[in-house]
Amino acid sequence: MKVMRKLFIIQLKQLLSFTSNVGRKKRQSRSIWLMLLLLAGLGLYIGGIYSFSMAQAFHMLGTLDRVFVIMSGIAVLLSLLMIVMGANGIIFQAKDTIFLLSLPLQPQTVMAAKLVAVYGEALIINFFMMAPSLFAYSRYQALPWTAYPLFLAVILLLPMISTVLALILGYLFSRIQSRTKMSPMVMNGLLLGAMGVLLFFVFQMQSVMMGETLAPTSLPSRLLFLATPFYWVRDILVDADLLSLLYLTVVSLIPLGLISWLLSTRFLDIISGMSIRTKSEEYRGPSKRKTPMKALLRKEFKQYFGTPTYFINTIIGPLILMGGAIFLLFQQSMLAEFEYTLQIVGIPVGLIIIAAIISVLSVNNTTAPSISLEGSRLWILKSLPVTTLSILHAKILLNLIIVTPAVIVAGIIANYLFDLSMIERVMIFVLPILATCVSAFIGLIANLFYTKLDAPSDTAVVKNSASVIIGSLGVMMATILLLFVLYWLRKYIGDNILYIAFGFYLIMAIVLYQYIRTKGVAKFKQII
Amino acid sequence: MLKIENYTKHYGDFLAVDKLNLHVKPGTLVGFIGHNGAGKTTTLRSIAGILDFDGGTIEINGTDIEKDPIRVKSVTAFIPDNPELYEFLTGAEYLDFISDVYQLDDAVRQERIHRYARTFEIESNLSDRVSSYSHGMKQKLALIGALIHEPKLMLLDEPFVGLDPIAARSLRGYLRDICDNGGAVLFSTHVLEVAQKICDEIAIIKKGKLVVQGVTEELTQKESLEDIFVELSQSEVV
Repeated sequence: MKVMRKLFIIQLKQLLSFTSNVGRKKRQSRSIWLMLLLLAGLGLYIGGIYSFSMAQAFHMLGTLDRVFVIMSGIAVLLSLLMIVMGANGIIFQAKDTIFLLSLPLQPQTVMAAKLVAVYGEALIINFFMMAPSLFAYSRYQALPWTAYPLFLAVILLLPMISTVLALILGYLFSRIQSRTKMSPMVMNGLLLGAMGVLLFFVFQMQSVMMGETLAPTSLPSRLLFLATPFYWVRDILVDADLLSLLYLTVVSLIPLGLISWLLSTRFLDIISGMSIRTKSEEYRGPSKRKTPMKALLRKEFKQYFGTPTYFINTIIGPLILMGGAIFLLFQQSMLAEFEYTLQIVGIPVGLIIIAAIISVLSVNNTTAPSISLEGSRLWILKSLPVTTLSILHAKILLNLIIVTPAVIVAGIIANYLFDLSMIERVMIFVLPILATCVSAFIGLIANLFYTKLDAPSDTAVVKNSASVIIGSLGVMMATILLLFVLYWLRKYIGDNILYIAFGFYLIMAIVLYQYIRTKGVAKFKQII
Repeated sequence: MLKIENYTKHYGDFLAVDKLNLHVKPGTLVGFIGHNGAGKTTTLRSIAGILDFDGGTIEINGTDIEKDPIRVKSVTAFIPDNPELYEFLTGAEYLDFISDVYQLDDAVRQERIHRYARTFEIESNLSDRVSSYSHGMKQKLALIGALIHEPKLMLLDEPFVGLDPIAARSLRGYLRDICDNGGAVLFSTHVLEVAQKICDEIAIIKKGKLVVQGVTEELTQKESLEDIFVELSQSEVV
C-alpha cells in the first residue's frame, strides 16, 4: 500500500508536472500545488459561469433542477477532453513505464498507480466544475441537507465515467499509432475528428436538454438516453433518491472496475504490443540543400505535425476561426440577426469581429511548450553552428505560419460579408497578426523561464506545463481583460479605439521582441 | 587545435571544474578519463558550446568559443553519452537537417551519407523514424551526423558504449582519419584498455582538476593505465 501511494504521488506529479528543470525541490513542490490550484481555478471559472447563468435562465422557466443535469454532463465531457491526452501519455506512452516494470513491482500496481493519477485529475476538474452548481441552485431554491453529503458521493463517481472513456480512447490511439505506419498527419486528423465528434455531442446534448426544458413534450430523444446518468445526479441531489445513487454507482464503478482489471492483467502485453516494428522502406537519397533557417523551420514543422498532442492542443484556435468564417459564408441568414443584435448593443460589427478573432487565437500558442519539447535533444540545437536567435525565430515563425492563413481567410470573408469601415477592413488582418506575435513572444519568454526538459512525456509539457498555462490561459485572460478595457475606453474616444489597440500591440510586440533578443537569448544559453 | 586555460565551472555552490588547463595539438587523439562526476562531461559540453562557464578561456583553432561560437561550432562535432535524437524525424531527415545547417552540397551529402550509413550498417533503416531505432542505432545515426561535415575537432562522451564491435572498430578508424588529416579528437571513456590502445595522449581529471596529461606510451611505460588511474584515485588532489 505504501509503494502504491508513493507510485501514485509520482504519477500525479508527472501528470501535473510543469516545474522548471533548474528549480529547487521546494519550488517544485510549490509548483505542484500551484498547478492543482490552477486546475481548480479553471474548473471554478467554467463551472461558475455556466452554473449561475443557467440557474438564472432555468429559474425563470421553472426548471431550476436542470442545472445539475447539464452541469454534470459538461463536467464529465470537459474533464474527458482534458484528461484523454494525459491518459494516453502517462499510461500507454510514458517514458517511465519500462523503468517501473523493471522494478520488483507487480505490473498491476504500476497500472493502478497510473490509473488513479488520471482519475485524480478528473476528480479535481469535476469537483470544481460541479461545486458552483450547488450555490447557483441554492441562490433561488433551498437544497435538502442531504444534497451536500450526496454531492461528495456523486463527485467521486462522475470522474470514473470520464476516466473510463479516456482510457478507451487513449488505448485506441496508442494502439493504432504503434501498429500502423500511419503518418502523424493522419493520426492528427483522427484525433481532431474524435474531438470534433465529442464537441458535437456536448453541444447536441446541451441543446437537446435546453430544448427539453423549453418544450417538455419533445421528450425523449436518443441523445437524452445517453444523458441518463446526469438525470440521476439531479434526482440524487434534489430528491435524495438513493436508488439513482445506486444506478450511478453501478454505471460508474462497474465499467471502471472492468477496464482496470482488463488493463491491469494485460498491462505487460499492452505495453509490449505498443512497440511492434514494421518493415523498413527503401532509402531514396538525401533531399535538396536548404538554408539553415529553412532547415530549422522544417524541423519545427516536423515536430509540430509529428507530435499529435502538440498539434491538437494548438490547432483548435485557427481551425475554429477558419471553420467559423466558412460556416458564416454559407449561412448568411444568420448575419442579419447578428448585426441587429449588435445595433441594439451599440458596438460596430467590425470591432466585435476583430475582438472575436483575437480572442479565439489567444489560446493558440505553439511557442509556450516549444523549448521544453526539445527535452534531452536540446544538445543538438546547441551544438550546431546557428545563432540562438535563429533557433528562437524558427519557433516564433512556426506560430505565425500556422495562424496567418486562418486570419487571412477569416479577414477576407468578413470583408466580403460585412459593411466595414476602411480602417476596420485593414485592422481585421493587422491586429490579429500583431496579437499573435505578442502571444507567441509571451509564450516563448514563459518557456525560457519555465523550461521542463525532463518531462515524462510530450503530453505533460503541452498540457500541464507552467509556460503553457502562462502562454495560453494567461494570454487568453489578459486578452479578455484588455478587450474589456478597450470596450470601456470606447465610451470616451469612440472608434479611434482601433488605433489605440494597434499602438498597444505594436509597442508590446517591439518591447517583447527586444527582450527575447537580449535577455531571452542569454537565458536560452543557460538552459541545460 | 584546442586550448583550455583556467576553465572553471560551478553548478550553484558546487565547484564542478576548477581552473582546468588542457591543450590538444592537431593530429592528436586524446582520452579524457576520470571518475563519475569528475567533470569530464561538463568540460566536453563547454568545449562544444553547449554549456556556459564561469572562468577561463576555451579556444578552438585560435577562436574563443565565447567570442565567436558559430565559427567554433562550424568546425567541431559533439556527441553526448546518451544521444537522444529527434524521434519525429526519419534517420534520413535527421541527416538532411544536419547537412542543411552545415550547408553541405547535395553531391557531398549524398556521398557521405551513403558512405557512413553503409559502414555503420544503418542504410536500410534511414527511411524509418528515429523513434523505432534501438539505442545502438541512435548512437550510429548521431555519429554519422557528427562525421558528415568532417569536423576539425571531434568531442565525444563515452562514444563506444552501445556500439557493436564492428561499428566500434569503424569509429576508431574514422577518429584516426580525423587526426591523420590534421584534426583532433577528445573523448571521455571508462574503458581504460581502449583508451590505452588507441589514444595518443591521456588526460586524467579528478574532482574537477586535471591531475595528469601526457603521451600514452610514456605514461604506460612502467605500469598500465588502469594502475595509474587506481593509484591517482587513491591519492588526494592538491
